[in-house]
Amino acid sequence: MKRERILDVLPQSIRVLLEQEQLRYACLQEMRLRVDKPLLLIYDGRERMLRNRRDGPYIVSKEDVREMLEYVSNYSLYAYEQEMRQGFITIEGGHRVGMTGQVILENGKIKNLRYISSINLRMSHEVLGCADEVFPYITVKRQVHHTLIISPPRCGKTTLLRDIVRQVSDGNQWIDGMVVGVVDERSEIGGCYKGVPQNQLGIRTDILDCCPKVEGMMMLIRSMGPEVIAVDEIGTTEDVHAVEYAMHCGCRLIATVHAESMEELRRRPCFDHMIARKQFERYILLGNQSRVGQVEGIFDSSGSLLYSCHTPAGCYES
Amino acid sequence: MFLKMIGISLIMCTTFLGGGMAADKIKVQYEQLKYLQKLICRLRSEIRYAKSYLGEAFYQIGMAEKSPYREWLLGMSEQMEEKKGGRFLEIWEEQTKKNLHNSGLSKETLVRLMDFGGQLGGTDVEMQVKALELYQEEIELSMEEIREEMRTKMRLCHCLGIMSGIFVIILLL
Repeated sequence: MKRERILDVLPQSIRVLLEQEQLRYACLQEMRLRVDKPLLLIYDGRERMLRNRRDGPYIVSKEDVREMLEYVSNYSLYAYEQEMRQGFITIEGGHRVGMTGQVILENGKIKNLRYISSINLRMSHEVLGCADEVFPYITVKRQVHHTLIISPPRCGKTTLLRDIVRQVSDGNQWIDGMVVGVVDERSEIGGCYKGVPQNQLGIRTDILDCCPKVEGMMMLIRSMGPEVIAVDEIGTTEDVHAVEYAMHCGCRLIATVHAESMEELRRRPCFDHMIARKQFERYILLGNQSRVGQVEGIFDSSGSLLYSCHTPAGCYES
Repeated sequence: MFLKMIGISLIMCTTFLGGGMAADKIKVQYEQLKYLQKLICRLRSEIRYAKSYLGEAFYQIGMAEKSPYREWLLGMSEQMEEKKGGRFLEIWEEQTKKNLHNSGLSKETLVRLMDFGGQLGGTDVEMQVKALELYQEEIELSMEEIREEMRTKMRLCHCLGIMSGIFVIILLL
């Protein structure tokens, strides 16, 4: 299925080459197409150059980029106007297609992109069970804590969030199944296709696809009565206020944020306030030093370390 | 004499029918343009208000339309959904040639329709809607031209049918 979804958006000539390479699609992390430059893959953590029939590097043409854009957008780029402004489109399966080119400005703001010259296809990886190790720390009395996942880019925060959502929704040995509302602004958590999530999010999950976080959280609270709300990549002051509002409404919050460490997060004005008020009860710090998705540490609301990957589990448990 | 009379009536009937068919063709052409304009209007609404993908919009519109437009739209939608490759313009041209060559639209209209495919799928909703509006106006102009000349042309076709019949009869007698 994943293989088909990826091949479906690639230009014909690259599809043929990939088929010949006989890749394991689970190991494919990124694919970078730049006009007049070699096609590069990030495969199993390493960069790899795709070769053509003459054993030279495959050079990406303008036509390849144009063809791929048609497939990515279902032949309808206009339907992705909003996403193009952000520089990426999320396709079926939650894979992200980033692009660069010439920016069209209107009143000083980005209106759209044209003459697209580079495309980066980033694969979404669903890793069932990747949240198993964090559950003992983020649950109490069969309820989930307000949890914030902190991670630099490409360390698997969305993958971890997705598996937490699935397990909270289905229930497991640590928690009873709860109604989860997901606001999936970039279609990366659920990888929705026509509103239906293609990734496993559990039996009690309602998902708002392509919806701005702030409005989405309010909509979910009013309409679906979620016990837990999950959002990806909070970052703005509005996001933080919406998260606080949802917490005051009695919902448990599970969110992710871009940061290298707890210290870096504390330095950000809106998060500093939030940490000081101990609104999140657990912080999960991810890294990729030994492997992608490595849980570096789990902290409680006051920032005390509960778990560290460098120390045997449970050593720091308070 | 009796045989001659039958021959004359047969020739007259044939040429009269021929003239009638030529006149009908003009009428059909006008009606088909009107229908095409309606389809473009629906496509514009789907894009403007629902922001549907072209494939989705073709499917929605195609399901409610009559043949051959139904086959044309559903064919394109299916081919786009299959994602077996092929640029949009290729799909559009292929399906237009396959399904609309006998629709009653004139050759010029079909050529213009195929070219119009190149303007679909752009990066901007506004631009897309404007392109559709412009094409609608073009159709409206063509319809106006046909409407102005329709009566004269139809009468001419009928007359030519009868006249050619008389001419053939005189020639044979």
